[in-house]
Amino acid sequence: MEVHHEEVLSGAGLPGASEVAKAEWIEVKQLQNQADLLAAREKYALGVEELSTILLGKEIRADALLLDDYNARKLARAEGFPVRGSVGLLETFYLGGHLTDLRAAFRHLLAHSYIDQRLLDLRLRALGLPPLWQA
Amino acid sequence: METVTVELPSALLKAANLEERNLSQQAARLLALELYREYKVSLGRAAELCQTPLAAFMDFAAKHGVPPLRYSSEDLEEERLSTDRPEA
Repeated sequence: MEVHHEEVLSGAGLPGASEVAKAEWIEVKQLQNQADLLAAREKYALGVEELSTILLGKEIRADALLLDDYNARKLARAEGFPVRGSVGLLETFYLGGHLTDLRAAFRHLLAHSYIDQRLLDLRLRALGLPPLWQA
Repeated sequence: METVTVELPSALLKAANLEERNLSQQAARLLALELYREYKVSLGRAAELCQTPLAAFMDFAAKHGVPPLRYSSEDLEEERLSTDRPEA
């Protein structure tokens, strides 16, 4: 619920917000034990959306969690969850044939300076693709 | 959120090129960014602490040379290896 609120309401007008709002396959769930969230807020320097993701994952026994923040991913792994991030998801879609141009998707991330280009080039090399900005 | 008042040298604010308006918010954003840059708080927590929407804080971080998406290459390789590869 907290993440959906951030993406759809706070993020209204941003890329992806309307798609998430309309996606019927997304089931929005409310964290049942709010006391856990309050306790975790005292213990960890994570945001409410990041903590809610991990706590809800525990409640519903999620198979994997989608997180991008370094500290949040670290905690999620310590809790035993496989973790996926934006870059890993794009790679998975590419490998599954759902995304034809991985380099274009990576360039989009770079256009906003959201990530270090060297890291993306390393990922492309691991997949046998040319680095960004090379024809 | 509870607040406190601090005194800062005006020369410091001038050197930081902060605008007169929204001075407190700008200073709070810079302090939150530093906490995030040092891995002391997460991206989401940093945005909360300076009372800035997450998307706006991501842009703010990126403009100050701190990428909002920070993974190690080992981190990403581990993700790839643990992903079920699609059948050919």
